[in-house]
Amino acid sequence: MLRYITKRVFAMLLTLLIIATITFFLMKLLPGSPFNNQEKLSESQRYALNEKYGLNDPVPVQYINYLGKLAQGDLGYTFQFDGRTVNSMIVNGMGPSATVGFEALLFGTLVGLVLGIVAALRHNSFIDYGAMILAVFGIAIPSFVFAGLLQYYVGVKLEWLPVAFWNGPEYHILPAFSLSVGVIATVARFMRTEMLEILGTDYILMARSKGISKNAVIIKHCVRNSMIPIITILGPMAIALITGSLVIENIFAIPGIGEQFVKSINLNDYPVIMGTTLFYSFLIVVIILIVDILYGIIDPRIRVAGGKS
Amino acid sequence: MKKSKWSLLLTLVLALSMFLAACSGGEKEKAGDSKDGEGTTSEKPAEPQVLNILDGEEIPSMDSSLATDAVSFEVLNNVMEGLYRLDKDNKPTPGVALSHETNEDGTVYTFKLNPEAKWSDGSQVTAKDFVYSWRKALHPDTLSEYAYIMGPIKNANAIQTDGDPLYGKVEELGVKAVDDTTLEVTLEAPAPYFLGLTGFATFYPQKEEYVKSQADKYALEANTLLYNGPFVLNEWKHNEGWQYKKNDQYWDKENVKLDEINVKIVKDQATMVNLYETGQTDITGLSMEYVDQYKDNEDLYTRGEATVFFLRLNQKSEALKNANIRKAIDMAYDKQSMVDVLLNNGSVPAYYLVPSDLASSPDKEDFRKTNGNFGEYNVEKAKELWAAGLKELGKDSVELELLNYDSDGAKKMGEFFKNQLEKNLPGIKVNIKAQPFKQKLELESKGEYDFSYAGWGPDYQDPMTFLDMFVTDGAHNQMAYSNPEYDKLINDAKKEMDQKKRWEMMLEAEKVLFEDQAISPLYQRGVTGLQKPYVKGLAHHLFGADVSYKWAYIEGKQ
Amino acid sequence: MSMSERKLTPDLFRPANLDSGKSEEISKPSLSFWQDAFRRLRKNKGAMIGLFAIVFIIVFSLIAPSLSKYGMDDQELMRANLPPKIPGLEKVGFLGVDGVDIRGVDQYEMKNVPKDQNFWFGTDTLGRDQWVRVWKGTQISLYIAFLAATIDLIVGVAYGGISAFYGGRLDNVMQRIVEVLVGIPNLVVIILFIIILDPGILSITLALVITGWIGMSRIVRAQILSLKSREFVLASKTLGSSNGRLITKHLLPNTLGAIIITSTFTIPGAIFFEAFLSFIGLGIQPPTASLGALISDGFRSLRIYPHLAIYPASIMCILMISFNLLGDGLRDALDPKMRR
Repeated sequence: MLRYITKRVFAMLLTLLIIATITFFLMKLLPGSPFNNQEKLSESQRYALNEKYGLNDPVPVQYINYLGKLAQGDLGYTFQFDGRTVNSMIVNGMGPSATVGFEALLFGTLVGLVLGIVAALRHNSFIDYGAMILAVFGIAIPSFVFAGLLQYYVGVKLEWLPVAFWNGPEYHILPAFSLSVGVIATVARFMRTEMLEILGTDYILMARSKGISKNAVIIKHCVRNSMIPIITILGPMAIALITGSLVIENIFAIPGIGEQFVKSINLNDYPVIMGTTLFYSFLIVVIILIVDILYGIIDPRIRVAGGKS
Repeated sequence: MKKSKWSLLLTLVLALSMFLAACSGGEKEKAGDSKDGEGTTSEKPAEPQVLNILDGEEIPSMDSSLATDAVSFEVLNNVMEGLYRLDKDNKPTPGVALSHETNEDGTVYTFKLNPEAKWSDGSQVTAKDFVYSWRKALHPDTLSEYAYIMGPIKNANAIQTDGDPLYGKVEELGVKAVDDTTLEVTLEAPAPYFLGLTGFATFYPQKEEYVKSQADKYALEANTLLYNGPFVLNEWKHNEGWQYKKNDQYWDKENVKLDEINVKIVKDQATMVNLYETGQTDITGLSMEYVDQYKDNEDLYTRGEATVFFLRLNQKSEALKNANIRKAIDMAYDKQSMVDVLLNNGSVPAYYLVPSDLASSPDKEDFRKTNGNFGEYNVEKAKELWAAGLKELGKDSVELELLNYDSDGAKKMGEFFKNQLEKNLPGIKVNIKAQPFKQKLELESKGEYDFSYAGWGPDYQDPMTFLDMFVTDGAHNQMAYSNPEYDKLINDAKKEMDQKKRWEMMLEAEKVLFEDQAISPLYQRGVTGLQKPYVKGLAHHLFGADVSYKWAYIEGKQ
Repeated sequence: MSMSERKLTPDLFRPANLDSGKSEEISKPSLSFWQDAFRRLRKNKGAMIGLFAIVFIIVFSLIAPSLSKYGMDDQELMRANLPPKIPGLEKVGFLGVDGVDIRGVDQYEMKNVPKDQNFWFGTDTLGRDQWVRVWKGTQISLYIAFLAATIDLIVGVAYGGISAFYGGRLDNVMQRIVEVLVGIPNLVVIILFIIILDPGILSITLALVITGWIGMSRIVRAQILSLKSREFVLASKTLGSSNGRLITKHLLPNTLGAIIITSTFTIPGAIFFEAFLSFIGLGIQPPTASLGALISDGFRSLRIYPHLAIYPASIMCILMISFNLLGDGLRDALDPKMRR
């Protein structure tokens, strides 16, 4: 197992290097440099600015310089704000985004699991249909519509919760809830499907007939075995949630990273695009690694297969 | 359906809130700070002087010599002060300067500074602080995008021009600190708008000692900056908002009534309106969709601005090189209904380049009033001109590309424009190319488009800020327009000592521009929004910073 | 039920007619896998309703635009923002199709719209017939949805399947490639396509092609990884089944449930992805509009002109629900374990 993990970590570093390379050259393909048309910049100023950020060097030199700084964890300076580092922008933006995302993920997974399990146990009952209708609505309504309605009714009409901003815990509820709807829907549906499949297998029947209590069978056998596909979808979902949602951050005025990223793309802010991309990729490969290790823990059969390779 | 849906929601919300309260207790003390201002000070007899507002963007720069955008200008205008500042009527009123004298031909200004003007650390604002910051802005190493605005000052242009013998020699700039309270400024040529210009961010003072002690941290955070304006930045949470507090070192603090201004960054229009309705902001802008909804609301305001939007007609394009084609295009779409239905925000159709109510002649006559309108909406005439133009080109159809911003409003505009032209001019086909902001500017500056939707706002209170855009090979011409007559008028006007003649030249230049139909003006922008009736005394400006809070106050909120 | 109370008498029993030949006979008509699946699908009411709704919406989206005399881009600012009006249904108050807006003003009268002009779904800010735009938008959204699902099915299943089935080094390499692809935010990729190819259906399609199938491939891989060490697969392998037989007869049928469920999520996912692109201004370019673009546009004026968002949103909701009902039905029908 340890050897497997070490191997994977090295592979991970290689992946990151490839991603850094690809994004770097993609960035160079983007037309327009950050300063090529700042409206009132003079020619010599533009040259000096490009010089300051090393944009006049030949591309391979820029690439080497970039990798060198990257190795030291230095992502450079943004072009949008005076004297601010990309590192500080990511750190500042990541806090609120990750907080809301994590809350949404936790809440969404818990509710989704419970809904899915209950729906499967009461297959074809009123509860089953109710849960699934909820789940379908959860994926059928665009998040900006849902968040907008929630903000208007709960925030403006009922005045139960703050409309927007990022202050105390009560400010987290609406955005986290809006984000979690998709999670609930997806998790509930997957869980129900898996549970139904496993409930029909022979070993569950076997366990039951051995006299193990129903609850024990459900928890020990059904739920545990149903978790595999859930973990697979939870990985990417966790990244999508934690790295911030432009829509939710805009609607609830959360100073998160999602909005920052989209804006930096529009403004050709290379260091921010690259820094954020690399940061995302880092999260993604780490989560994929964790998911693969979790497979092994939850389903021993995969560990055997993995160990052989 | 309604009832059951909401009760379910309520349960979920409650469950979530319990779980949240448990896991993020540490942030509690921050909670509700936007509400505090309203409730806690109620025992005081006077009303709490707290203003809550929104802004759309984070502040890009707080260094006055580097600031380039509307947000930075607005914040700087309220925490800093130049020699003069603009009052409610956009007239210069003394700031750090007590008074000024000019020599006979208006090329030397001698400013007497107010000895009471203080930095927020209590030290005096001296003439040296101005000399330092102006030189700093012009120094090539500073890379100040707005340095060009110092152009009227003697040698400023030479100092900025690479290759000039004076390049980089900021000591040669026509500004001198005679003593601590006397500043002498020499201009290249008389500039009637210079006094107003001293209220512009690039002309603000900076205290050398402090700037150097902060080095590269200067102006990055609220506490690495010295203020000399009516307010100080008390708190600056990046990407979230900032808070102004009254500056108790300010020389004119008796006239500053607001104690606190809370600014939050909000980008979504619906959120802004919802915050306004729940009283968490006192002012909000409105986009076209919301104007109809609040049409009868007494909080609705509409205000004209001095920004003009127009279509650049790129003369690199074969078809648009033809004057008849350009004229036909300008006449073929209905500017009035475009403004009424699509913008719906107090914008007025523009048949001109220099906006109305921006600047008046030495005889106090508005530029617009003298020169009147050029062009009209006339489909019949447009068709005639179009046919004539096509004949000259020897073609029976033309395909043109409209370069557009990718914002919603701009896209609507593009759709309308395409539809109108294709309906009214037989044989035209318009393709819309919407691009992100920077890419659009890039394509524009390379001239890779046929026509493009563009806007221009004034940098100073003079028609020249619009007119010198279109001189041959000007940095903002970007459409290959060239007319020697126009170039001559503009260059002569810049050197002209006689104010009346100068004005005549500028009037003439605009006429020449429209004889050529170099651009097709769209509209002069207006803004509309909601403002609580208890917010009083805001001063709005046509150029530089959008608004001053110095004279604002709250009355009748309770 | 108390069995023991019952008296068992000999006349309750009859000798069985033991015919050794008959016991080998198949009494049910022989059905292929797909016939059987279709039979079971037909029995599932929800799935049939979903299927019917999808077919109806597809057909209607093709026919409906021609029922109006206006085109997709026929603008007339004089008739901007008209509420819906359907002649004949005007009297039916709760439908809200009487041409009166939410403030109670008959906009048709106020704006002097000729009597023969009625807009069934109202008009938008440029005075275009919303009916035509909504159905044309439906066409585009459906196109994107089917495209996404197809790519998912072909590329995702093949990639995930191969990666998991052969395992080992191949799996390792293939998964690293996926990590790289996932690691590059698709927004960057899309912006590049838009700049190179101009915004529109083509660039959205390519963006979907490049990133869309990855989720599916990971699910399929996980399923097959877990299946391939199951006893029945091992048994079949031991009995000498070829790889082809293992995949088509054992692994794929057992994965179908997950594949179909994933597809039914891919479809709304793709439609929403397009809506998100429209929301940030990178989606389908005007004057063309997708359902997502119409909703995000109309949602801004929901409180004053609700008709602009409600109709496209309802159609989108119906589509989503139908796809889900059908997906559930298909899963039940295709799952070999349900075959009893």
